[in-house]
Amino acid sequence: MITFEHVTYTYPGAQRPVLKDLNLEIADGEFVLVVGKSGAGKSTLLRCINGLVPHFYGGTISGTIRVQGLDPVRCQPRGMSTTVGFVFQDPEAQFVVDTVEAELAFAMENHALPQATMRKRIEEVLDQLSIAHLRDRRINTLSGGEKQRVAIASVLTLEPKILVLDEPTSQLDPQAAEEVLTALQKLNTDLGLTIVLSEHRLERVVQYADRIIYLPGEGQPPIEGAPQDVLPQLDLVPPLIKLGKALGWKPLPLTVKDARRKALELPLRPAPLTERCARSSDAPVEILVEDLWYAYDGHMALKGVHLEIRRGEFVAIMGRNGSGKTTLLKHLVGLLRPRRGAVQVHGMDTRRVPLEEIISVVGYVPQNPNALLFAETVREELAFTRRSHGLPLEGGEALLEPLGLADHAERYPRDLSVGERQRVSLAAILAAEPLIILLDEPTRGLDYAQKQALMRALRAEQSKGHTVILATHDVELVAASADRVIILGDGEVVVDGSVREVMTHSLIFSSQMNKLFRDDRYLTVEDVLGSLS
Amino acid sequence: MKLTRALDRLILALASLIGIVAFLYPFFIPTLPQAPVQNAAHAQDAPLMTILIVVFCLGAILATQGTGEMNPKTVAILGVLTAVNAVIRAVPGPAGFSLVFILPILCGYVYGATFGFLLGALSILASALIGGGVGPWLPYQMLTTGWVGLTSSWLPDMRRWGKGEALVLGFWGVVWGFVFGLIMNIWFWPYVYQPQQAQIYWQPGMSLGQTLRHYALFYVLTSFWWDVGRAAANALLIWLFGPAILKLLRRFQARFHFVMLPSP
Repeated sequence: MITFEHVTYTYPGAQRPVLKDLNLEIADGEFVLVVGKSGAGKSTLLRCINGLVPHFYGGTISGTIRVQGLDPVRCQPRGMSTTVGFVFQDPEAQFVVDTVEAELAFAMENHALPQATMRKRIEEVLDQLSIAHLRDRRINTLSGGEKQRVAIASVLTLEPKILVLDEPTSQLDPQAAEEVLTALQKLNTDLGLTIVLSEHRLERVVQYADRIIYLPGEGQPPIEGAPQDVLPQLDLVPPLIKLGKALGWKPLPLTVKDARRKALELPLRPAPLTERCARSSDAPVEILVEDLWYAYDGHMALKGVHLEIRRGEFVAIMGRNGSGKTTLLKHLVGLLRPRRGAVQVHGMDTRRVPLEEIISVVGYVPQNPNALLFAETVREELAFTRRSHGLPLEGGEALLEPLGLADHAERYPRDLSVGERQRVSLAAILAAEPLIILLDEPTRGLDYAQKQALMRALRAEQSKGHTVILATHDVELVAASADRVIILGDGEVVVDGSVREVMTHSLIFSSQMNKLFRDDRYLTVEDVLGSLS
Repeated sequence: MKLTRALDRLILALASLIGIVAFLYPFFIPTLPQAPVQNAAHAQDAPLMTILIVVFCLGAILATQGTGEMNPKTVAILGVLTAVNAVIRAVPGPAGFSLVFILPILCGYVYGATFGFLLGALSILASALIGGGVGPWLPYQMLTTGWVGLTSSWLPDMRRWGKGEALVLGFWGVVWGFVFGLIMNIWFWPYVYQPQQAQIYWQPGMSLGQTLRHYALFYVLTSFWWDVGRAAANALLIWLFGPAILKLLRRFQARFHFVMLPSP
């Protein structure tokens, strides 16, 4: 049982409390989903459960929190660690040692458990999360999804009663996310583990949750209840819910399966296939990749990739975790140079041209936004980019508003939430006005409104004739914005085609609307609503 | 809470007192063996002193656990900063130029006496171990650098002064640049005697006034210019990097403590 009574918490130096007079109750064995805008206090709420707030963050707290009868403020995080397992947004942040097996043992070693027990529990968690094949790997060689599963496994070794996860699937491919979520569901049903999970991509998790707690932000009281009751009250929801709301379906379908029967009854008129992709074949080739091979310590990441991307295209690169997406992007910005094969960017051969010349035309937003942030304020971050590219200082400010950062211009970038940091790093890159924009998982930690804002910003870049390439797992986002999709599999280009061609012929990388109707014409809710007679 | 705080102060005071005694006791030994070079200085007592200071450091850390000033988070930061300070000590420069004082000064000023003392003493120990700089001078260097951090906590909070804060701290660095030399010379000075330069050395049985005169002459002739380098480096580094480092230290400081308000 977790109870919050009149909990108010303010981060040090913040003007307003992020949680204000919050009252909550989570019963044993519940699977609770915490949702809300980026910066609304989801992470803060989760951190209260194991005492990280206030012990690690300082600030001012009042009210009463009880977790299985314990007071996290009194017990401190170390006292809560056998009761509450906590998995962070950023799995890299919680690893201590080098190899998977050692990492799994770490927490138990600190609790001085007998070796026999440690062995047994390691075997159990390796199986529970299907990572037995990773046991001897070094953690820094794992892909993002593998890391996340190791992170979950490492907190499960202490056999907590409650598992708290802060956007655990935000960087996983759809398949890996489902594996993690079904593993969580199994832990929930079989072991009675209470699960409290925050997530932006509702379409993935809503079907697993018993209850939703929606934090509206600005200190407003939360909206709680069964998913069917809460979702109609929210503005921005997954496509399936959006469709259900638009058509007044009751009860609201949470899964594609629930909706399918109703969808079959819809009076859809046969409409001609409209191709969104304006893939002008006469535009000059902006990026040319020829027979590119690359290996990290003997592990082949790219195996003979051929690609041609023309100026003004909006390309999504998809594929499983570890399929080579990031490696490919790093080649396009010159951070990695081809060992075999060649990469030409804007007419420059990346093997011969210095990095400074490449980055004068290419902007790269890496997966980890922290890598880009070092200035004292958000405003200064943008100004730095402008200065170092020899641009006038004024222009950068215009980016703050559309990315929802206007209120944060004077904040210290690393104090912002993950979603906010993601947008600051994007703004810092866009401030240089690059001709080619590369984004690695840009929607990690973004809510639906911010995703839309991001896509508008990228669309605007595209309309200026700039080329946009993003690596992402976000199927709905790709369905709604990209022109062309490239799917990488094990270091090779598996599929390359217009978004409609690719997404309608894929099991994993297809949008909810396409899964629902199994029809080439429907990728987005707009597609469906547009053809209703 | 009050008790452990008092205990912590007591430990620091005791460590400092033992340090002062260790620096000064040679002057009270009538049969102190003297040589033209400093090889024999503190050869007997240095290992014991080093161990004593380390024990006192650990004692200070343990005594302050759970009180406001030191907690697991500050110990973590102390560890990291000690490592950083130990490494940047190796950055070479002219004369007494050294990067090793800026962090003890700033951290002592922001985080308090215990933190400052520990950072100074432990980073000298760590850098001596990595750099092979272990010798009879080590405990004296540890103590004196510890004092740099400790005394910096005595400065008033100057946040309201804006740029003046770093300015004052820079001058504080100048003062310590010379004082450090003044103190450190004493570890070997009484052990050295060169008859052809008798007016700058000490001999058993000298009066206090004469000792001070000789020492002043010794300092001006040998140590002063070396210390000018150290003082200039301190001031320059603090003026240059002080404001940024202070900002960083304070950002962490905000996280050290939280306030539990009674329920409304």
